[in-house]
Amino acid sequence: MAPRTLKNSTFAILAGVMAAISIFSACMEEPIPYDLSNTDLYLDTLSVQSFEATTFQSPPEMGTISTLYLGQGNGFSNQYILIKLSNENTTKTLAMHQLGDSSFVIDSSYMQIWYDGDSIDITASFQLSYFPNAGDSLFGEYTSHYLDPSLSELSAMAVNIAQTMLVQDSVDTLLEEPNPPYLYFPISQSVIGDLADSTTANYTFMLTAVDSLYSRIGFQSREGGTATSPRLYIDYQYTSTDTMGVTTTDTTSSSFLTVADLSFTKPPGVAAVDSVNLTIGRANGFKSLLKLEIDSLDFPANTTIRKANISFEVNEGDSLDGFKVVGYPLESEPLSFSYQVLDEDSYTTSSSYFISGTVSDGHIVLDLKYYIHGIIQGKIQNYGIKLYSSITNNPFELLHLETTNPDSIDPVLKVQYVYP
Amino acid sequence: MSIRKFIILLSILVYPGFSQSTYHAYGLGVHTPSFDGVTLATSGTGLVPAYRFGLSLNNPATWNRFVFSTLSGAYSGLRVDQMASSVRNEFSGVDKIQFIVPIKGLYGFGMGIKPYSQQKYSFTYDQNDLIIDQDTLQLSKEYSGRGGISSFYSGISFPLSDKEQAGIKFDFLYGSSRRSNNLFVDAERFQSNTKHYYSGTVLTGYLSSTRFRLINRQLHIYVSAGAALYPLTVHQSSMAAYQDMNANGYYDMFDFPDSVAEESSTTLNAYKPQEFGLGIDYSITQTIHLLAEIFMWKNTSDVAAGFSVLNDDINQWTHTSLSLVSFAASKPKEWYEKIPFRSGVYMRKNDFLLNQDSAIEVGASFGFGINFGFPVNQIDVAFMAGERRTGSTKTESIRRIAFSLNLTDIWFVKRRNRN
Repeated sequence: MAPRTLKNSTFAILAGVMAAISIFSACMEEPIPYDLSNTDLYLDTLSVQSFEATTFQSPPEMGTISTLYLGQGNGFSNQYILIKLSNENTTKTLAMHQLGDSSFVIDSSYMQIWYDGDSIDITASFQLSYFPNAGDSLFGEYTSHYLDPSLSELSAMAVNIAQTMLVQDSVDTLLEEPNPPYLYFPISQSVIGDLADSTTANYTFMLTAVDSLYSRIGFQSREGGTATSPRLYIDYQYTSTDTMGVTTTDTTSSSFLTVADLSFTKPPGVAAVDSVNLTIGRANGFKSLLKLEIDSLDFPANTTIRKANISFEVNEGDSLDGFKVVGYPLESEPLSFSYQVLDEDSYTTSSSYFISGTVSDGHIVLDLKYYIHGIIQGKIQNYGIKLYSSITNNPFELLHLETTNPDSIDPVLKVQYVYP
Repeated sequence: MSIRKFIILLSILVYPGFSQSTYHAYGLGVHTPSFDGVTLATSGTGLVPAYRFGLSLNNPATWNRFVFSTLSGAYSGLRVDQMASSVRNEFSGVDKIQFIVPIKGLYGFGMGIKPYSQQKYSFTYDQNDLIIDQDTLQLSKEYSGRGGISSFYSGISFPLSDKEQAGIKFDFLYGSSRRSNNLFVDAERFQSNTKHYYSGTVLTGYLSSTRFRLINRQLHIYVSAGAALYPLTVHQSSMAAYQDMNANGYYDMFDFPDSVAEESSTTLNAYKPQEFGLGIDYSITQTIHLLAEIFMWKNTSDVAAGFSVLNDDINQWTHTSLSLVSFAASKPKEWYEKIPFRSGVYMRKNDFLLNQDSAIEVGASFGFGINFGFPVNQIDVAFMAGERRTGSTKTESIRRIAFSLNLTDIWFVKRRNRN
């Protein structure tokens, strides 16, 4: 008789056992209380009150702000606005230089700039100019300021296009929300021709007030959103001939949006309080440098920072609550920690290790967690940090951080760290 | 299925069926003998045969006496109650898979996979509140670890004389474990992780003799001795502490800082075990036997404590057991004569590298087997209850259950062609 192999019943039992194993597989895990006080991972703290700090003033950087300013107020003078258009329309189907082609016939065109207000509250005339005889690089949104290019330099090159006043479209019903006022500048055929000239390729316009404005007004910048960005509208006819020799003329419209815009602000003079404290204000051009004496701190190996905050008392009290200060680490050691007036902000910073803090109840706490940890890890050097006003602030507000009377609360860097 | 896939599958299946306890956090974990349904029922280590008369699944010196090829699997569950905190943990899983082939009645070959040393623990600790800058911080710690050393083993047995058999077994040690240390500051988690990867080989020799008699009854003697052929090497990879910002328990791109230092090191001779076992099987009657064992294991290396969150190591243990076994009758007349019954008591003494207080584990067990199918398949079931003490303090109460399934067949025998 031949030996028998495993019978079907055996496999059935095997399957049953496996099923039972699956059913009875259990896991109930509950941590066991145990004294881990002397084991890895401890929390510790330290504080640092020793630091160097100063304020410097450089020409205001007004780029990336959602409002373009004109007029005077609180000592500030906003004399002109530059707007640079895209060389392509919004759908990227039409380039500016194509408008000079004989296939295009311009029916009408105009420049529209939205007012930063709900209704017309001024009766002023505004002048729109352009620069048909200048090169393309008239200004940089992030680099230009009231000293470069100056109004006198621009006026020598500018060609006037039109003057106009604010207008506002009427609404049909009381329930309908009216659109904000805007400036409507008709653009002539000859101006379009100049814009289409590919040899100059200059699409920059300048907006000024015809007469001096004794109050500060604003217009929507491109940062305010596509719907209210300054733009050039063109209605035109386009004639084309297909392969069968059939000629077709289409009437259509297109618009060219803004790719850079900037209001040029001249700040008022400097007060004593500005140079004594850490002063921060965008339209004033005030920024601050702060270097903490932390190089001698001896953190344990593999330390992780939980918190690293430095707090300041705000001279203005809680009136500037919500004011946001931002900053980045300096890439080189400042030559001086005394008040300076600079023609250009020459303090370059890292693009990482972002620092920020917001004024609350008359105090501001700057979060230096990432900065301190970067220094501990040796990824950055402790050259200090540059502090300036966030673009979300009112650029004309001025913040003074108290440093002249330090106490146990302000200013002091407090660090909480975890180490193995 | 390739051999590699087969081994990986076995590794997944043989997940240590051990519940977390304090003892699993010492050194590289708790080294334990196999907990199959036979071994657990006798409270022994498997040195003295209890599977069937003269046959032990865990003693290679008996494998050449197997009549049939045997495929065995074990499933065990453990419940541990912490006496100080009333915390209860339970866990169960497949414990061992083994295959034994007798060759021509003279030799035996076996191979299998089983846990060699297990780490499975989770500790929690609430510190006193800490007041910093007028903020009250709640601090707590949570340390956990799991994994351990597995053994892929292979052995042979051969006769030395008509009354002496010998066996050799190689334990190829491998595996990994992970440790996670957490500090909670309020709801913020700071974590550091450590991984260990193991490799080493242990060689064990076995000897059995049926030469002796005592008061006109058979007295079989079993001896084993083992040592590290290649002491255990531990590759350690440690990740420095980071803040687990998204509280998912592992480091990812959302955590602070954006890069964490990782240090690697290799420790040689982390485990250098030496073991010795002595057992006897005294035949009270033809089917009723008294078994006794003493098994000593020692790690002659003293560096394992450095791998432990508790900074100590169980570097030596001695297991002593006494068992009474009723084997199934060869020609049963009653139903209960078909069933092997086993019972036993044991004491295991764990000595620490640093702590002067030994941990004593005592317990009792019983179990039975059920034969079925052809040739002689068997299911073994065992229950055990015990407790652990450190010094004079009763620390843990343990309950264990194990099932074994042993499937037999005739292999490597030419079969008649039915055509």
